[in-house]
Amino acid sequence: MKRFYYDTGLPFSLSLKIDLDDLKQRTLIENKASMLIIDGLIGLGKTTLASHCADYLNGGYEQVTKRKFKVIKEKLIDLQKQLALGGNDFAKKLRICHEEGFVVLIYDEAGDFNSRGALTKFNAMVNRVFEVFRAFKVIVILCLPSFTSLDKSLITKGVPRLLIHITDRNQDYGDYKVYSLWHIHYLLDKMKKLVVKTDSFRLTQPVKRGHFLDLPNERAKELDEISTKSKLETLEDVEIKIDGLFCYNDLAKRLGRSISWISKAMNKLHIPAKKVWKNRKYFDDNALEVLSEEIDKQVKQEGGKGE
Amino acid sequence: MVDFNSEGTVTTAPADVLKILILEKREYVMEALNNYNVVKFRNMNAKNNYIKAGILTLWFELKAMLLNSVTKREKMSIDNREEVLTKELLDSVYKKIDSDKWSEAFEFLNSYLYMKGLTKVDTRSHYDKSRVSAINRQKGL
Repeated sequence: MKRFYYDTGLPFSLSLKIDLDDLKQRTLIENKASMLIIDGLIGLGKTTLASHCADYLNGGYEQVTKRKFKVIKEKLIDLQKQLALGGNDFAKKLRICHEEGFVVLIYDEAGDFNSRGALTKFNAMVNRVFEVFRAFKVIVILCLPSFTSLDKSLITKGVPRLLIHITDRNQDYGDYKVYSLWHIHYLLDKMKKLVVKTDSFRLTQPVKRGHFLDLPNERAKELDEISTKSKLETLEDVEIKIDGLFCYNDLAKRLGRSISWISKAMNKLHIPAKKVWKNRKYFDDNALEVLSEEIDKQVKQEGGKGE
Repeated sequence: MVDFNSEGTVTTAPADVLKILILEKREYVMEALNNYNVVKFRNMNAKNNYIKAGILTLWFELKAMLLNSVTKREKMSIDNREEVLTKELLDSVYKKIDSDKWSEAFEFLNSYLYMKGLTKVDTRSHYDKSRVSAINRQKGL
């Protein structure tokens, strides 16, 4: 029979508890910024381990004896409110967490917050959030495929305190290695010289190793629904970009007209939308041509009047 | 140990040379103590004149440093308790050298050397290497 908890009552190795406790102490009592990074290749169970850690930090596991824990289902994290998928969702849910007094927030699919887009407005916003999130007294768990894509300034500032690298996973359990902030600097340094970047984890001695188990069925289902929904959204966002579709804003920018002019012209010419996504109409190249013809026509008419 | 004819010594800072000289004198006392004990444990009549002479030399070597510590009113652990160094305390130590309590006097001078960092080699800090937060704190992060 598949196990969901170890003999201790926890879904992960007992040694990780010490570090999570320290993280909690740091944030809630010492009032310092703390972030936990969970890094691992795609499909190794980053979100699963993140939700296990978040459950523990949220007080979902009560200590009965020194090596025995009990699950308190009411105190497990609310996945709807404490699991943010993508940066925009994260900023929104950080506020919700602060207002409702939640201790922990998971920032999953953090691939959108990367160093390649260092100069983007979005990155600047998230960077700013990480500078001030200390005030909210919230522990952030960041899940991403490779922590190297993170903005280096964040590591220099000492915001991430702990790195959990998931090495492997099979159908029963997953393996992870734990690194401190000090180790993170060495990992980064070794990566500079290596061709296979992940070898850096093999060459740096971890603080500890451990295992984690799967989420119980009903919780896995709940997580799947939220997670898959977001992944579908990401997919459709990408689809729109690939198709080369334009919204009103894009058309207005291209044609040098106001958005209201565009919408009026659209109604007049009865151009059908190619796709409607999140209450927004998207049009293809054809619409662009028709509109530019319309502009030409208007210009000629105005010119004729002038003569 | 210190060769004053060597060019290396001439170019070394006086403070560093003096440090070695002090350690050298402490070493003489230690050796004398060893010889004393060897004879003593043979159940023979051991003489402590070498030890006393050594401690006295060490005392005069450290005298300026001790007096400096008195004016600064530095604290020192004596018999597992902390005491401020005073002139009276130093006088009592000096008296002990010539009496049977020379071992107490040597202990005092030895702990004084440790306090000043001359014999302090156990400076490497130990921390829980299985604890991430302890590592980060130790490395100043």
